[in-house]
Amino acid sequence: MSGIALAAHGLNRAFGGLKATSDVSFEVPEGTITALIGPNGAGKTTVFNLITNIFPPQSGSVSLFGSDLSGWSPNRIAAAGLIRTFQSARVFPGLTVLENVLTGRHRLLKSGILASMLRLPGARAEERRLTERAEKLLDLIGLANHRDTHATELPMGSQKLLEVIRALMAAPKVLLLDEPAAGLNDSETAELAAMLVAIRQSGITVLIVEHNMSLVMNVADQVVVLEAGKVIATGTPASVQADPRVIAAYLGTTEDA
Amino acid sequence: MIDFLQILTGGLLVGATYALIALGFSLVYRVTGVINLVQGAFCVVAALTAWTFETQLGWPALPAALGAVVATTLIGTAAGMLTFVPGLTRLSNANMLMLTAGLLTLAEGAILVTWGSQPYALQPFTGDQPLNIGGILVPTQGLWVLGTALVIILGLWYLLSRTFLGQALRACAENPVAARLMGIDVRRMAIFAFGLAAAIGAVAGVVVAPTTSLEFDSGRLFTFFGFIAVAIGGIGSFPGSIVGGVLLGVLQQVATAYVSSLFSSAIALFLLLIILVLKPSGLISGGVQRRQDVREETRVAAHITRLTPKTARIGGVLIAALTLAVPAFVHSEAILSSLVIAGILFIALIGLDVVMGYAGQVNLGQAGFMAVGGYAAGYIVTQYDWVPSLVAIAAGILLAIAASIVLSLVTMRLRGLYLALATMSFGLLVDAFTVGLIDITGGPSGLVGIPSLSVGSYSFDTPQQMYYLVAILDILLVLLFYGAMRTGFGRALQSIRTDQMASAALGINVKGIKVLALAISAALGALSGGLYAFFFHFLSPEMVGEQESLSLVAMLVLGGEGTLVGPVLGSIILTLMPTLFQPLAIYKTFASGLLLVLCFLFMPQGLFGLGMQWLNRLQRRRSSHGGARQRLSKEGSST
Repeated sequence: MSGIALAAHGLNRAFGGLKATSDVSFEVPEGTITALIGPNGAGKTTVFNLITNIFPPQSGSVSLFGSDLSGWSPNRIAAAGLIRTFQSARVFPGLTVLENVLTGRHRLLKSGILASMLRLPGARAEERRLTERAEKLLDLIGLANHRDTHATELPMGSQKLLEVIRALMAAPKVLLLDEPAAGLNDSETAELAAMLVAIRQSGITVLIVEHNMSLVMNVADQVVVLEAGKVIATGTPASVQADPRVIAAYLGTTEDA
Repeated sequence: MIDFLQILTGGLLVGATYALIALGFSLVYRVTGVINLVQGAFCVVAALTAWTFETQLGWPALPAALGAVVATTLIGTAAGMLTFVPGLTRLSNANMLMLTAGLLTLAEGAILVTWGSQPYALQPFTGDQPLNIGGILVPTQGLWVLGTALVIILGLWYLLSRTFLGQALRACAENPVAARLMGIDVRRMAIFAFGLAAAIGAVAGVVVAPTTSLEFDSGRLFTFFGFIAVAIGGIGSFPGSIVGGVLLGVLQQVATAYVSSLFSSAIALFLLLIILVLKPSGLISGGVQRRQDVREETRVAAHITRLTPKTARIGGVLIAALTLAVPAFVHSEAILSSLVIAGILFIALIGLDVVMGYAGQVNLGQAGFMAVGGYAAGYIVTQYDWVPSLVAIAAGILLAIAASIVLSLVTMRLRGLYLALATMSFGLLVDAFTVGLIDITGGPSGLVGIPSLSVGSYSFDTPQQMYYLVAILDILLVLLFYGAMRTGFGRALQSIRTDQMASAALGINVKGIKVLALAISAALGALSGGLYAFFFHFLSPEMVGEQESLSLVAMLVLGGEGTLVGPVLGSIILTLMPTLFQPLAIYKTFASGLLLVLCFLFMPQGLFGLGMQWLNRLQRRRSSHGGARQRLSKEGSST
């Protein structure tokens, strides 16, 4: 594992007079789990939105495997293999659990609308293959028996895990997870940690925003600390934990650190 | 110069009317976030009530006008309390828009039933001798219009900016939840705003009525121009409403004087589209932003019901067999013809369901696509009799797809309800052209002499022949779209319906899919329009006018959105009813409006959805019985 999967170069964004991020730069090495941490309001979600161009940075740029993402639409960025989840679970209401997972695959579907209208053998085989794969993924988070439940009827923790599964179904090269452990109970968090390690093993690079420090310290290879829109430390979990600035800004005031 | 000033004065008078209607729109929008399409109907109800008071009861003009305003305000407030306000807490904004479209249809139907379809004119308040001001003739009624507009504008300004009630209303607009926490009764404020808007509409109606003639469906024009005014000026902004109204009025009068009155509404629509594209929030932004780009809502989640594949297969085969067997039982030509019409409309409804039920984008102009397809096909076969019917229909479909793509590109930058309004404007634009382009469409009297549909040397002359053709076409289309809706494309549509941002984050090309969905809808609309023309041998503007667009929406919602086959129930019911109960035909508009409103409020899943839920429950009960029996027998064997 060598190259840099994702790099932010000097991202700036202000909302009115409030500077949400100033000169945020960091690199996510390929095949690692990088955690983006910081106190509430530090600008973590803003960084995610800048990376996926939900709104554009006022200056600075983002590159994915060396190609500049400036001006790309969110779906083009996703099509390049950068898939994100949202802070509050955003499963699709009106679709079942299985259909939600299958929707993740949409960008890679080979059979077009005509093929599926005419039920050509290729389209049917693809649908079958995808369903099997989706069921395997659902099995991982213990939702296989709920495949035909309406997604919004699941408890919040399951919805968040479902969203991660849906993102995985999209075959990401780089996966951005926005607080996946928020709203999860202890056993679900443990499942998530195991899943993150498995995701890394399969070669997917992960950038994760998370408040749950024990999860971060357990699974992350690299930690980037944001405070008030600035990167104040970057390094291994151990080195960051020992950094006095980080302790002052964040860990020192957090009880579960 | 005098001529021009005369035209300008006329424009100002018309503009004052538009401004008054626009104010009603803005008021309700600011308090509830909903575009209330019924606004224009208040004007007509008030004006016709005043006519009744004057001519039937012999009241003088002014008391009759005042009485009519009071009566209309009371009726409007009651209607708001019963339908609009309860809907606010249950329906998404887009569905509220549809609800008000239903209310507008309902009002038109009620007016039709009460006053018939003839035009009415009212006496001016102070004689019909115009004043001569520096060579410019001004009807005295025009002064009444201007004066009333000024009084209402000042009164509204005072109410909103100087009184506690006004502050409370504004709080509801900015943040309903916080307003509720502050102890403001948001529901009562909504009723008050709706009632006040009804009163403003009623006043506008009675003062304007003497300057024009009114029919049962004039309300739609008031709504339409008032809405264009408000969209030009900026929705939710009171100064914007006034500026937009006056601008529109002047432009229209100038266009009528120097171009043609037939295209004055077309010109207004072009103005609207240009402003929407250049400055989507209007000339003066109202500052109230509400999220309206999705029809994401509890009712979507609540009404999805899936039949098991086995049930769907068995049911499908049964229904298809039944459909094909109908001509063996039904010998009445009238009923069979109605069924053919229902089947043809169902084709347009499948398209409407794709774009509305599945993709969640409001399309209020489906009949416009029918018109494009029908007139194109009809024109081609009547002009060039060597062109085969199918080629003519295909040409109509291509034209409709092209129109839908242009419409998508124009509205691409617009968010929220603007798509609904753009499609409605498209429908009305097509209306204007079908009436105005007499050389091509035959104008108001319609395009005549369209032959029967023929394939090769075989000609579909009788209702029976058409029935089989349409039935087979319907079944094929349902099969095709059933395949598409339950796989990738259908899932992508439904993901867009509820969460466009999350869809885009998964790499779904949201814009592309919306364009495709509207194109599919347009193509099916055009196919339906083409068949319509061939079946009737005739096509007239009102067969495929904006009223028909709303009636299609009523059929869709009654049958069940997002169910693919459900809408056929809606189309059969609404098409057969006037045939079965001839004397009740006049109630058709009223009934479709009422059904639309009732369905949105009480049966959002539609008839078909209701049936599916019932079937599923039955199946579940049976399978749980079976499970219990199995367990019992197991226990029995173990003891």
